[in-house]
Amino acid sequence: MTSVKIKIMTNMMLILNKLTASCEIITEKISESIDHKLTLKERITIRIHITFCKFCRRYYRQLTMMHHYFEERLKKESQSSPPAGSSLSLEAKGRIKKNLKKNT
Amino acid sequence: MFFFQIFTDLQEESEPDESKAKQQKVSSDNWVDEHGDYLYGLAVQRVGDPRAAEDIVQDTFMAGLKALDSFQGRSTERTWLVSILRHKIIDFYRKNKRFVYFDQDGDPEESAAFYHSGRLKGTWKPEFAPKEWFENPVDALEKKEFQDILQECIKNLPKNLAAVFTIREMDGWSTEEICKELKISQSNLWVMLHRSRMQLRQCLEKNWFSG
Repeated sequence: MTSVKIKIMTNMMLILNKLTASCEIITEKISESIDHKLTLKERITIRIHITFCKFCRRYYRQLTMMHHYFEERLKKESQSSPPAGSSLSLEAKGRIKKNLKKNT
Repeated sequence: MFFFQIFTDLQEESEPDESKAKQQKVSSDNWVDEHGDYLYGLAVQRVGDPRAAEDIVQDTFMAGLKALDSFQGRSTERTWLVSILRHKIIDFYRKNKRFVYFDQDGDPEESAAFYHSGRLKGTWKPEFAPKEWFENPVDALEKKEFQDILQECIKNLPKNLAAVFTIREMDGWSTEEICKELKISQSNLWVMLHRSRMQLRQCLEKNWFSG
């Protein structure tokens, strides 16, 4: 990219940040949108910002995908497929069995 | 014939009461063999420390035995035990509040480092700006390497961020419930979740999604 192009893009970003909010604030709000319902004004601000800013647009998409990933995983977990890797040692199982008997 | 049927019905009714105590003893051993590894796997994912995970599994069984009456077979035994485990995880983090400082919401410098300061204040620094991901994480759901990297990335978060992220995203508690349990304010929790997602996204991109 030529230095003129970079300069134009940078200036456009600065104008966008003035019109909506900075990427720093937008990303904070994007995260919050997963945790609670944002106000209409906040939602519109995010929409406008991510229409023009490709980085925040990716950020929005990726955070949404990550959240979706965990939702799917949660659903799977309560069915049956066990998490790979760690298992209790025989000694640990013995300890737990003993303690359970003691307390019932 | 009719009387006989009533008689056998009565007999059947009285049977469960007699064997209940016996049944409980039997099931506690069976539980450990049948569900122990599974629950332990979930607990290790959530607290990291093997010893703490073992205690959580034991507490889960203990609570399960006490509440056996309330288990009505609406869900499978395992689903029911997993839901008890999720409560025990949040209990664990509440009890460890002394070691995990929820009242400090992490190092503000750490997430501020993602953005320019000065004239370009608040815009992405090129090295932290999100790149295109080659895969949707949902498609990596079954991949062991991805799970390992995710686990590692969560472990690398500051302790308080890892804790709130785990409770919120891995166990799916609502922010209201988390605030009530950990006695922290909503805005405090939102900021911590924001920072954890920001750092986790960066770590995953670096180690997985930029391929």
